[in-house]
Amino acid sequence: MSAVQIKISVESGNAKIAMAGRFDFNSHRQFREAYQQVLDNPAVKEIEIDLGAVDYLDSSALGMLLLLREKFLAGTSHSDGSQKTSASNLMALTNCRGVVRQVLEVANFNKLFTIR
Amino acid sequence: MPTYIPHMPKQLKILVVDDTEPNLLLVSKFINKLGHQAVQARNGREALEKFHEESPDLVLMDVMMPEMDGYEATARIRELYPNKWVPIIFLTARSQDTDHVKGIQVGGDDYITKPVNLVILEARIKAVTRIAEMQRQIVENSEQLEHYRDENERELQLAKHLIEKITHYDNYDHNSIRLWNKPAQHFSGDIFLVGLTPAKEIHFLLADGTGHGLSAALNVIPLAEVFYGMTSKGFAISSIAHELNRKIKQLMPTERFVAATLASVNLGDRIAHIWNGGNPPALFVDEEGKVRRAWKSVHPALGVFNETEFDATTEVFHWNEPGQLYMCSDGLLEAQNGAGEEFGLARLEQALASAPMEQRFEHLVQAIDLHMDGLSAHDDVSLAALHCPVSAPGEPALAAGTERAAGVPDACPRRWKISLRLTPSELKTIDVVPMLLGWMDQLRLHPGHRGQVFLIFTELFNNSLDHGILGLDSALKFEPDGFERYFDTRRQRLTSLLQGVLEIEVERLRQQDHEFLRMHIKDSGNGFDYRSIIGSDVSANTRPSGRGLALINSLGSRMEFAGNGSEVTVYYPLS
Repeated sequence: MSAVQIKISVESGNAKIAMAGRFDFNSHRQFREAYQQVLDNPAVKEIEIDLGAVDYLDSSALGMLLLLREKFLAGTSHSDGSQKTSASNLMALTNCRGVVRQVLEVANFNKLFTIR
Repeated sequence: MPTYIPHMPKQLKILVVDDTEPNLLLVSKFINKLGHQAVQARNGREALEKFHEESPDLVLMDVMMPEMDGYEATARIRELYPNKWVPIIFLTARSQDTDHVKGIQVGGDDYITKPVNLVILEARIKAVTRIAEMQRQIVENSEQLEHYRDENERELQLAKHLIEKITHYDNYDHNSIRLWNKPAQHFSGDIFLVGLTPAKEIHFLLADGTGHGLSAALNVIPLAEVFYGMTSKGFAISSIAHELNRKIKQLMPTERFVAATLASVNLGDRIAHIWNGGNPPALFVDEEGKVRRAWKSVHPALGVFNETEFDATTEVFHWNEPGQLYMCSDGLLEAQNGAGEEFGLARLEQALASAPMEQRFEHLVQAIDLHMDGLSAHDDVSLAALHCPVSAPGEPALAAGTERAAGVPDACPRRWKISLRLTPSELKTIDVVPMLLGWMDQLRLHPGHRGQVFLIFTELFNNSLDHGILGLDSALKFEPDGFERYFDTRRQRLTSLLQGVLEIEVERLRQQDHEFLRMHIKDSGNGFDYRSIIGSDVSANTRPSGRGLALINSLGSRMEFAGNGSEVTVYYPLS
């Protein structure tokens, strides 16, 4: 199992990016294509990234999540630059278990995303 | 690079070898008709000569020939020209499978039985030349690759050289620190930085940039200047953390960050401040090898939060028994053995517990090497240990380390005075002591005085701030976990401070033919009974609350209190 598998679904303004397999440096292009799709969709208000089927997560993956977060938040600010709502309300990392949960804990990503 | 199959437009030079004249003629004419050039040889020996002279693109080789047969000639050609692959097709009446096999074994590429079917010959020539072209391409690609690899090697060497210079690896020689590094590639994306403040406090940084190798190392280069600059000016480790974060956030793309463990260790007071963002826990290990305290990562890595979000709060630790402070990057815990098992925290703790303190570091390094069993690391492995003794090595070192300036240089500012009035808004946001020291540097204070002036000033300032303005009681430090609670209380009170004034004056003057630095601090607090501490001997002062005001006296300076003790002046001799 090398390449990451990504599935996108959008339902009433909530986009879910479900990832499976190894989320690492090699996943870069696929992940970017997936989130670009979501970001280009004007109906999307919230993003959930389901990591339930991810068995490996490294610092490049953390970096990719940060990049997505930045881009998404940039699109949700008012014209004066203020945020419409707090960051962690808009982006969630879900089904975080085992190794994935540990990595997110050490990285203190709960301060940047809602983690459930 | 797509696999391109060329269609033979160009003219080939083909060496035809046959001892039978009519065959030779027939094949040569055919070759010419196809648009190629024919070169002839009548036996194996002549074939070798012609091969050498003419450098053909293809050889059509008869097998049964006098003097030297086709097999031997082929074998010799392959032997003599190992780097140049020219296709050799056997044309022969011998048609057994064994003959065919032998032909391939001696280095031939194809085998056509006589009488030669010219249509087939044409097809085979095309096929074999196509393969030859691909072969040539492979050789060319491989040469190009080697060229790029050499160039890349040179660039990596340069980068490595630069990084070593920037991170001053050659400069560190503090004997209470041990460092070990095992990069995943040529060099590590992890760095260690060690520096001493003017008061000889040890500042330490273990940083792990995203990824590894050169691209990770690039993350950490901006850190070195900030770290060394601020450390030499005496900034606190939390201010340094704040600035490092700002730098990474500003310079690096969003997806790049730097996991870091920052520590500031005062060996004299036996106090350590730790900041861990993204690294495995820092550990304090006692003499028996037991982990007494662990500081987990409680912050995101450097470069993630912006300035307002960033939390530079450090955790404080005071040790009463000797021990070692261990720090590592995640590559160490994740280092795998042949079975894919990670080294992990459990093995780390076991290795720490199974060797006496003097050999503990080496033992741990060995344990990791053994675990990895010669396999290369996936991620850079870094380990650092700081020895934390209980005897106070700091004091004599401090006195010895600062040389007294001989005489006074003429062309330096001599009659300056700095006055500062600090209220809560300033006290909460400014690192006062490094700022003043920086100004004194600008006013050409001699470097030989820096350490002692910094120490004296820090002592005066902290006393006024802690006791006068924040109302803290040193007695709190004596209690169990007293240091941690003292610093926590200090931080809380400073954050919520609403009243208080601290007035500072630093002046350079002349008294009785000598140059002095006059340092004066007055706080708006209740003062203290200063008469009780003047005259006490430093060596009798084994209280954990710092060497205190008594030390200032012993540095050859004159100290005067005024009022209720909330006003103090120190005259520090410059000559």
